[in-house]
Amino acid sequence: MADIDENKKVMVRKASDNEYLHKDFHLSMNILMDYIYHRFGKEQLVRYLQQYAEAYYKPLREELKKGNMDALLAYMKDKYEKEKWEVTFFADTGGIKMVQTACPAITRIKKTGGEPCAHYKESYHTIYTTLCEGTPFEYTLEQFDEETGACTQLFRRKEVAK
Amino acid sequence: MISCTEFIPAYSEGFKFLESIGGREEVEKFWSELSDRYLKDSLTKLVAEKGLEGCYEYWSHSLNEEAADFTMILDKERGEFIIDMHKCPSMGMLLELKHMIPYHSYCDHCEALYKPIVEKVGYVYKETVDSDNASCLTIIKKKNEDE
Repeated sequence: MADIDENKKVMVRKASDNEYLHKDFHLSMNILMDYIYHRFGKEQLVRYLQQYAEAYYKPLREELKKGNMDALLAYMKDKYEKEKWEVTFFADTGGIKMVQTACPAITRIKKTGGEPCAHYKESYHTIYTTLCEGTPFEYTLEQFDEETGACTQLFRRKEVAK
Repeated sequence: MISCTEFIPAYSEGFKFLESIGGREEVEKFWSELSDRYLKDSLTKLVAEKGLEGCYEYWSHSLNEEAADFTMILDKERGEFIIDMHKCPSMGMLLELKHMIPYHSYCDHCEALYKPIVEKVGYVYKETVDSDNASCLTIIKKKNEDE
């Protein structure tokens, strides 16, 4: 930042000057989910999240169709690392278990005085269920705490899950 | 979970989804609500209390967190605040995601969010967008009597 004189301030930045981490995007996401839910209902909220998952996760889903669980594990680790959020991973040939004591989005929303959308859980359940559709994997969301987003998530190979 | 680093594709798909339900009008309704709810404790307050200095403060925070490539100028003497966005991180990300098609008017959301807020307190908001190159120029200035 340069203050050329008391009447003029100039700030010049390159993308590489900063880390990409704007936690307030969680607030916008929550408002979007809330808007769809209140205007159109839960079914449409779920449809939206399915549409998003189908579009965004297309390359990862292709990897899962091939049975590539390593791609999923690498993706999840990278995602939480970028988010700077602690999650414990357990992985073996049968699947991946992820345990978190709180959700980064719910934490941010509450910290700023907001309330998470009534079906915030669907940003886990619907999205990852959609990711697994048509692949040898299935997703289970266990023990989701609506207050904190603490939860256990399981991605299991279907033959192991049965 | 949609991480904050993956929000932009979800946002873009959200615009597409709303448009598929209720056309452009529905997207604009959402932008208006987002402007009211998302910015009420930040930009709205800052610009009401500090004027263009408040704009500088707001975007200093958000553009740095978004790792944008920009030049920002606050010229108090001219009563002008400028953001010259060389590369918008949001549109840039959407253009890089080759397997997704961005919402056709993605860049319109910025003007829809910010313009009503600054105009409410007597400023003029002008934006020139080059979405194919993820760049734009935003000028917020004091309203002249002839405007």
